[in-house]
Amino acid sequence: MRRIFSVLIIFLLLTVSLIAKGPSGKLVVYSPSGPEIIEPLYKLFHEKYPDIQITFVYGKTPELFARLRAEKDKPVADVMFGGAPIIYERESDLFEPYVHPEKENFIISDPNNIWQPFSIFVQPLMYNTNLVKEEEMVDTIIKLVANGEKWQKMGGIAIADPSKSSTGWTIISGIASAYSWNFVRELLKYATVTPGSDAMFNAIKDGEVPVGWVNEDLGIKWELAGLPVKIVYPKDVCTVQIDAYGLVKGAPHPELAKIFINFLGSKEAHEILSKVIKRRSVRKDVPPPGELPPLGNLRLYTQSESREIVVSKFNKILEELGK
Amino acid sequence: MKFLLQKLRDPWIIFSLIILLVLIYLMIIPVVRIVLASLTSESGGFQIATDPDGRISCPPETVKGIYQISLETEDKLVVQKGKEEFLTTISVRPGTLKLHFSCGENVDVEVIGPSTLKFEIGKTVLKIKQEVISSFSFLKGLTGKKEQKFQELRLQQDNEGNLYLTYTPGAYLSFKDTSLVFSPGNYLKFFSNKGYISAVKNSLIVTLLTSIFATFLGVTLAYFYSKYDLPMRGIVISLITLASISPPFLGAYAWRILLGKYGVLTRLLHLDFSIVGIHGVIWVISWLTFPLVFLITYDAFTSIDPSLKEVAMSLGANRWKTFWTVEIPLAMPGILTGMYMAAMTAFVDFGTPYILSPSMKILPVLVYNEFMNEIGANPTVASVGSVVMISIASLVLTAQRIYLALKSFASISTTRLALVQPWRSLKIGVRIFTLFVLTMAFIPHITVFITSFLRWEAGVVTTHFTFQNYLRAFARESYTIGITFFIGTVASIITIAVGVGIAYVIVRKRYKFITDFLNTLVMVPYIIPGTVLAIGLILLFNNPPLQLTGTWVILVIAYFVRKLPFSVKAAESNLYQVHPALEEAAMSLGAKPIKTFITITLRLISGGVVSGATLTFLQIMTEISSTVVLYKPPWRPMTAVIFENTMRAGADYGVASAMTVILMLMLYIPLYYLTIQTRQIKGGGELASF
Repeated sequence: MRRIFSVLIIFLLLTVSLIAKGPSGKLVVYSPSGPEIIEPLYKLFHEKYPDIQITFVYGKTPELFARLRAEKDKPVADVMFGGAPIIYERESDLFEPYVHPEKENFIISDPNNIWQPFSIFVQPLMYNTNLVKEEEMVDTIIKLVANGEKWQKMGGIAIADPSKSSTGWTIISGIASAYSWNFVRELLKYATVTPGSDAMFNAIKDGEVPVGWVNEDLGIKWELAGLPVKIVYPKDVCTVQIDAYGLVKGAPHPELAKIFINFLGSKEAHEILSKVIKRRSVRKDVPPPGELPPLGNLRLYTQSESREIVVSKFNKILEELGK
Repeated sequence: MKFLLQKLRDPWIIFSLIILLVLIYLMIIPVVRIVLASLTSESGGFQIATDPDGRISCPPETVKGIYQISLETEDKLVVQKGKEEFLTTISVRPGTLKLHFSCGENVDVEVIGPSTLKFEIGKTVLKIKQEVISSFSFLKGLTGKKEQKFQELRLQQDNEGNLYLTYTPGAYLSFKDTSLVFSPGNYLKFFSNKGYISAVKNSLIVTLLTSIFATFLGVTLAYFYSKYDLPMRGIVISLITLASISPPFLGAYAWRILLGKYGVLTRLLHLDFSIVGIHGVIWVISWLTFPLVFLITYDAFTSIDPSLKEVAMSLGANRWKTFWTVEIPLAMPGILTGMYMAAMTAFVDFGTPYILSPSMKILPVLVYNEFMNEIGANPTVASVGSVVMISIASLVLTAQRIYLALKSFASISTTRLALVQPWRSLKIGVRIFTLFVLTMAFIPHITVFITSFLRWEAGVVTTHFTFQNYLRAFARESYTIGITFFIGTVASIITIAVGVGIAYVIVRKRYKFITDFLNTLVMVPYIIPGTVLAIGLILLFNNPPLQLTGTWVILVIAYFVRKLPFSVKAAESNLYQVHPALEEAAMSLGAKPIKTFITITLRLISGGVVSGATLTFLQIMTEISSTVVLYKPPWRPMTAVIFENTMRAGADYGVASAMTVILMLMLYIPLYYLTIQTRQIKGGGELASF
């Protein structure tokens, strides 16, 4: 009996000592961005500031904002990294205004200093080349919907649920403003709705569906890595998003958080952003990735209706279609 | 009075009463909170869409709850709350709205941020937010955009007491009243939504088909291995025992790597097939649950009194007839218990459908998703879904209980029939079948093991060998391994300690009401799915003074509640083997109850307690459904890390697979040791006797 107890106690001591040096003094960053964006940045950050450890907490944008709201009186996170400026504006009471030292170098900025701009990214179509032959790929959203039945037989057009994904919101809202909500209804007839944008990207890559939308940086990286995907920029409607970051009000480590925020706006970080991550930088002095088409050649749309309206209309159509 | 005092001198009664209160607090109150949440919803609100020229409108989709729009023109909106007129808004010029509240009470305004205001009008609290969609344009040629000057959302009052709201022209103004109102209509709404209905339907289909399939596999194997002296019997049983505990997400994740539309096997064999979908969920969960059925039915078959069969045979029944009329009916309680356990595991499984079928609606995933969407607000849909889940689980449990009560057999004989030598063709047949089953059961383990040594590029596995995954897993997540151990150990110790205590009261003490009540209460966790329990705990512990959300304590509580029944049953079955006479001897020599318990009882069952604790520990380590709802950094167990890493596009699957292998080692080494050491199968007996 005594032996059992002593083993247990040693065990407990061991685990306590293992974690004791762990979490304390760490920066916590909430982010909907995938590791393809976070890893290269964190690598550079870690080289510059080896003593600051960051725990990234992943979640879908609405989920993370809901969490920030729930934790308002006792924040866990220091920095929110990702999500559209409009959400930061709407939830501005969760953030501490901060004047970014690099503000002058950004092509846009927030007059209230709640959010800091980070990158610009377009959502082209992505096809799975195992399922769709090159000559079958269409280059407008109109033609995509006209061929809806063909896609439906292969698994449907993937679209991220706008209630769970800002990308989904942007795409639906962009298409609705370029055409109409009736057109969106046509589109949704052939759609497979995924719970989040990651699920949409994965479904195309894994061939569960033949086509859907993707963030251009991830799409081009997958294409360059030799995965069976091909991105096509639709000629009629292309949606574009900005993502932002902000300092959480009442952050447990505000000074460390500011170091990270300053880093996120630095030229070095944005060069990684453009060269490695393949996203278009918001800095005036960092050129866009060479692999991507210039923005001027695209017909660009962004969110045109509030999220609540887009989500309500979207859900109503789905319900009417019995999906 | 004297009688009461005397009763209170028995430490076990005090223990029982305290535990009773604790269990009620941790098991019943969360459910009550969920039921309450399902019966209320937020009062609602509406949104005003403005345009740069000062026109206003109210999109009908945004009008919610008890608010209604009774009049709408280009520059005037009249809003009703319930049956009464509440607010009139008139657009004075672009960027300014005149507000008039009909009740005539004073309006208190609190400025929360540049775009957020809080109004208090009598008893009504309204939160107003502006969502500016066209306040900036970052590039030329962004179609349909007009640059607007940002204007803070502010309320001003003129000399006559008129209220003016200034905003950025073109913004959306949302008015929200988050006070809760009683609304039993939530259930009606739930059941009239096609998506939610299909979630219920899919859950039932998965549960039913999985339990049938798993029962077929488990019972067939158990029958042959309990009856015939088959080669490698011990190893097969040990392997199936190992398969009964599996790292979370493993099955779904591995099968998807193999048989997804772009999977390794699909590509290799040029199949036009994908495991993604409801069929995949059924397939994967079946392989997860059949070991449970096997362990329980194996127990049932081996405890059949052999003489009953001999009697049947000697009366002229052939083997076939004996099988159907004697063996199966006698093993039926065991088989049904196994089937029940498989069904419940399938019903509450969150990981498999979450990974295998992104667009499929199924109850555990629905509840999780809705709750995550509603965090901070009243979780109406999630709680209605939770109540539906609890109701279904209770119905199934009741049915199973009633059946067991009607058809309970007890064998008085303890002799076991010697194993029969199988004939040749049977031997070969069973061997092929066993090989098939074991291959299927362990394919996920092997797949993940191999892929953990391969390089992953952009979320796709390559054929390059590497140790990088492990190095990265250790470099980045080593403290999560420590945290997992810590939380697992603390939770297991508490669970088994309380479990032994409760089991002792149930087995030895026949207190009026208290014993029965405890016995029933211990069953409650069987009907609360992990996701649901987690939501209940969040509702319960989200406010001071006992604010535990986000700490490791709430994880420990969740694990304690989830695994308590198991530890109680494990301790019970050990206690039944200790003859009360031994305790009575100690007592008669003057030992106090506590001393007797510690020096005699506990010592006698210590072996069983350790193995029970280990099994509880293993189950805790693999618990996901409550973990994914409850965890918050820095308290992030390994299961949560695996969860995060398997879900993201372009995620580091390498780290996820390395972590899974580490977790597998942490699970299987103790389990293997336990199985080999004690030379008996573990888990079946405890599970079956619940």
